[in-house]
Amino acid sequence: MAEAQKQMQVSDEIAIDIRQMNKWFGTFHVLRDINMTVNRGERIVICGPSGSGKSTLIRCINRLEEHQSGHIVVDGTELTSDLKNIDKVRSEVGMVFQHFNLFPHLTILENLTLAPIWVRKTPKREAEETAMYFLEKVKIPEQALKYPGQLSGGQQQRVAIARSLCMKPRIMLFDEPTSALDPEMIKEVLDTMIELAEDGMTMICVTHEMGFRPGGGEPGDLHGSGPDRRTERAERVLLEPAVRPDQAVPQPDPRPLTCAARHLHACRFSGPVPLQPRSTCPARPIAFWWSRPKS
Amino acid sequence: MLAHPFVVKALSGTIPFRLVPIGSDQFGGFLLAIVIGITAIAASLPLGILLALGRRSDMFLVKTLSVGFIEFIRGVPLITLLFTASLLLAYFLPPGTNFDLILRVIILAALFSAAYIAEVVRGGLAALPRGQYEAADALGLDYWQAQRLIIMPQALKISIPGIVSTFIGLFKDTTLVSFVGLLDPLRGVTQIVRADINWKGIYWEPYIFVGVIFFLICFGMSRYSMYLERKLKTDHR
Ligand SMILES: Nc1ncnc2c1ncn2[C@@H]1O[C@H](COP(=O)(O)OP(=O)(O)O)[C@@H](O)[C@H]1O
Ligand SMILES: [Mg+2]
Repeated sequence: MAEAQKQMQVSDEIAIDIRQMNKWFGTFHVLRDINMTVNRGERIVICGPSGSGKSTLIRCINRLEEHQSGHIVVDGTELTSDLKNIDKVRSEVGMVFQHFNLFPHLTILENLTLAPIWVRKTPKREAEETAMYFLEKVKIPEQALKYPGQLSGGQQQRVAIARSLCMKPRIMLFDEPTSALDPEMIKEVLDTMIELAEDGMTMICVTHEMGFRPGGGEPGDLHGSGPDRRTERAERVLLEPAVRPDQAVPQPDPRPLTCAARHLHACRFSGPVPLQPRSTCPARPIAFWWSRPKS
Repeated sequence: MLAHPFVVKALSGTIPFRLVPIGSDQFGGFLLAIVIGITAIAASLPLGILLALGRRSDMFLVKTLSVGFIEFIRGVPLITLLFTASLLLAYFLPPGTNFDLILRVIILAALFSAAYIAEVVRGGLAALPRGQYEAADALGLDYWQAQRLIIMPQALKISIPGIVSTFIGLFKDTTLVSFVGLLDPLRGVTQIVRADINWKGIYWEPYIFVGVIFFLICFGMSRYSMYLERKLKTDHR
């Protein structure tokens, strides 16, 4: 009994727990022995070269992809083939996609209220009020009655974030949220994400933008010749975040995810780090997003 | 006033008209074409959607049955099915079952166009980006909610031209029912033209008349589908 209690307490603090997780696509071993723990309120960036399995990893967290072995526990619910658990996890976990995936046949407001009404069984009025609240939070309440096709990419992505937030999720997953955007729209989306991070949301963000690059190194270096070189570079990248010497250096937890097959890495940043955009390098969203403010 | 037994049964319960039931062999003309056409169209759309979903299903049995049904129906001429409906079914059904000929024809016409609709709708489903399914899943919608609220509204919109083509084809195919002894508009015309000496020399006139009416109805359907497409257009690109 006491032990169960203890476990309950631990799981209260841990938002996502992945143990020895393996995932194959047919015979292709994409993710090997992944271990990862995300505490509540933690913001994690997963970076790595294209095709390394970043998307697959976070899609396993809300079971858009099925893992073949190991355990994934999200918010105290283990993901198995049990549909009830899957639905529970999905309604607790919001996801933002690279290509927004808004529903083009519905207005912005309908996009936002659909899931609360049908999944949460919220009354329509209440769902609309919540939707307007979050639209204001992402700063586009005036677009509520338009269709997604009438909005710019940046606005669409902010709508997508608001749509996830309307389900009041406890965890948010972002799969390259800015990769499909023009540079001038990246900032507005990042501002929204920063605000969300400041509100204490548990967030996992995938990017192949290597913002944490060693001084002077180009992100392109990562896609260099051999796989060994890539690993080595990536590791250094993790350990030496791209900040100028005059800035305080954030302390990444140097525990890359174990992914022997492909070079997948996670940067962990925990602790009371108020996030602040570093306006000096707008094209490097992750560096500018996760750096510590000057003290 | 003449009416078909169904209609008589349905109406006499509610409206105290004096309707004389007539058999399928006397019920005819455009009313027949329209009755068969509309009922079969109304029945074939939902059936076609289910078949399309079945064909894309992960469940082996559902998928096999749907594929088998669609391929069988599409591979066999409608006329064959109609003869089957009028003759063979009578052998297979227990003796004494009075299964009306028009009802049989309607069921077969509906099954026939459902197979085509299924393929048209499947095309619409395939045209949807995978992200739409993923977004619906990620929001926690279940399979039927996702289909009803997200997938079908978009897939059907894409499929409108194909669906309406199938409907038009079905409507025109209702003239084939004359082969199993029903009085479709053309057959009615033929009988009249043959019976009356006054039609000699201008026997083509009634055929043109029938053709014009069919054209008007089909053209109407086609315009309506274009109107629907315009009305449902929300991508604004
Ligand atoms: N549905 C799938 N079927 C087969 N292989 C896949 C599938 N999805 C992704 N992959 C493969 O898995 C690897 C990882 O893909 P992904 O997670 O999308 O990488 P990333 O997001 O890091 O670019 C890639 O090599 C890709 O080809
Ligand atoms: Mg990806």
